[in-house]
Amino acid sequence: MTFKQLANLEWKGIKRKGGMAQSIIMAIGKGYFGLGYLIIMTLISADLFEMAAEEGIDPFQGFFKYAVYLWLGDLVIRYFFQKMPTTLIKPLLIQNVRKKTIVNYCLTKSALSFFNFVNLFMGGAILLTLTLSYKVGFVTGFLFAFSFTIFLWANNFLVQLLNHVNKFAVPFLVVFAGVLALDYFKYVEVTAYTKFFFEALYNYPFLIVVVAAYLIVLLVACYRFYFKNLSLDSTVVVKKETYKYYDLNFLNRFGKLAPFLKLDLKLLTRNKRTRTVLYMSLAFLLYGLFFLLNPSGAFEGSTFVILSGIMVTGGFMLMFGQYVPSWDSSYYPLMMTQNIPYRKYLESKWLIMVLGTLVSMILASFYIYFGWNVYITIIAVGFYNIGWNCYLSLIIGAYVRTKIDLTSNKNAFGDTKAFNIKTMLLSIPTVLAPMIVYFILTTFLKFEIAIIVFIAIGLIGILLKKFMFDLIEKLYKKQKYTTLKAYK
Amino acid sequence: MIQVDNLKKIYDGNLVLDLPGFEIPMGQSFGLVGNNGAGKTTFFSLLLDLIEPSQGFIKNNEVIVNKNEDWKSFTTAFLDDSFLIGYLTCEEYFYFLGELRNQTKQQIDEFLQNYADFFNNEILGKNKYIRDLSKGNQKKVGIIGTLIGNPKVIVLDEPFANLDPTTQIRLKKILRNIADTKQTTLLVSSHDLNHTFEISDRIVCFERGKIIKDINTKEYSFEELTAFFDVVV
Repeated sequence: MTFKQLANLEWKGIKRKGGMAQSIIMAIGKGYFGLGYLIIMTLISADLFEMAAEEGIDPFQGFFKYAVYLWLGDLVIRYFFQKMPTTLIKPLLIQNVRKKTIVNYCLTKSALSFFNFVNLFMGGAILLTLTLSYKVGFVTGFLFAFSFTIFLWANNFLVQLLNHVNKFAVPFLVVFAGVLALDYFKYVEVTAYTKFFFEALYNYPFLIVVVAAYLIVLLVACYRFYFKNLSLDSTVVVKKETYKYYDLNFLNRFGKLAPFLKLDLKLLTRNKRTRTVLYMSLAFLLYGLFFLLNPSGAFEGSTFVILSGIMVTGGFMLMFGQYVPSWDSSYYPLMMTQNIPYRKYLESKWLIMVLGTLVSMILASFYIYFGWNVYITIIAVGFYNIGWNCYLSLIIGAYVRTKIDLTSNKNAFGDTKAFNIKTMLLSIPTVLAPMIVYFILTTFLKFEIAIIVFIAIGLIGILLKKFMFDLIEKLYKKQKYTTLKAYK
Repeated sequence: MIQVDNLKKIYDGNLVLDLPGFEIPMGQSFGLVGNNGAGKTTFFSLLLDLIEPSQGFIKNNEVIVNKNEDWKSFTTAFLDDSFLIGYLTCEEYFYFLGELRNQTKQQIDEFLQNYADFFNNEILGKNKYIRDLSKGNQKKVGIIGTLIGNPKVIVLDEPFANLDPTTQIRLKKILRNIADTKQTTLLVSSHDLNHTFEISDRIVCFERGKIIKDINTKEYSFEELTAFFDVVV
């Protein structure tokens, strides 16, 4: 079997996935963001010299100093958005395909990632800036730009290891976070050290060999990892989870909703994929610190407080809600044939989100440290989330329809991303609408009154529950067959 | 109990199911046989409103299934593993179904006692998640799940496939008992005429979406039936 045949299989897989119209809209959205990212990264790479000059630093010294942030940005964006080179391996394993071919195919596929082209553009921008604006010789300029590009290309494989190999990822992230923290609190100036690295690449062009070696080491590591994990049991590593019993009978007070609430709590705690949601929700609680702790104070002001409010109180709602009813995709036919009125099912999902938001609001109490205004804003946004965004999440969820495999999350060749562009695009209204409402309110009203009105808007949303659920129920019913088909 | 009226299902211009009309009376044990792709699962999916009919409708106890959800309160089904919830233990799964069908925990526990043999000491009280059971044991859980709460209609798609011979015999006994009460309409599909013959009062054979045979098992011996179905089974 050749690369061409594998690629052919994959293309058929994409083409026959279903939901074509939807995916075209998504493709346009992705294209838009992708192009934006490409342009921004290219421009920053070229402008870094100029920006340093404006700050009164030597443009070259400035570039060497800040180049590490380009690398870091590339790595972080890749970590969250780069798709792992997944291939349908199970049916291929016993066919006449060499393991080598499958692994090579996956690695080649990842090498053609969009992000590598972004790096190429960045390198090109640096080369042009060096030769045109700073009259550096072409060969010197080329060698530096090229080694910089190779250094970023290595991220392609670094990210795959980070995603798959926990033994590697955990120490890496710990060291990394430690260094960043030291830099942030000004104990050590990391850029002062990384500067030498980039400066050396420029001054001693032969060091391109070292960078290339670094790329090759990561490539080989990736190759070996995939090769070793190319059997079903080693990738799946069937570590059976021991059964944990918890008494959830206190939920029986919710009457008809109780069975679903109990089921959803088990769903959340017993599956790897859903546990990620819980951890992420906790991480989202800290989102506000990102703005509030910034020493420059550049983020002070309502817009950012409200953005953090949405994330802090709505982290769980966003992460969980966007995949309602997809969380139940593996047993959706069961849910659709049991004695379950659709409305009760949806209401229980809503209630889970409301409870999650309330818990987040309580846990977010520590924000009171940053002043009453910050705290009350976050609480107000919490009410807004309960009042409106919980409905919105259900509505978005009706359109997401991703088949979620709760169990096979450990496969090296499976897509482990709990985070993707598509759901992010769909979440935009969730974030944007309250920002606009809040902006309008605070422009025309005094802060205290604006907050009260804002809370009132949230409460109105809760009062409209019957009306909203009529709407949502109708939507879900209309989509029933499409949804069932998508989960097949 | 179940009335089919001029039912058609068309996929991409292909007529995959075409049933001008037939009826399954209350309490009948109804066996559905036919080759792969004959439309057995399509028929069951239509009956359970998992897919939309292109034309016509099915009435389950006077409820048009794709218009009204009321049939769900007296109908249960197990078609495939998408009717199981992998992260529950078997007991939790049964309790969950019980709660939906207004059964208390005690009732479920008593109910499960009756099937201790069938589970062969491999399933109950093992504190194992359903996803960690073998395919065959998963199937047993799904089948027994449909019996909870005295449903009036039970739909089973290929219940005998993937089960070991001992379990097949036990399952036949269980289903025969239910059929003999004449209280429950039992719809069972199978490739194997042998199993269907033992549990069904009536056998219908589908071929390319159409009924080609419809006979009462009481009137024939198994040998006669085999000859009769020779074309398909």
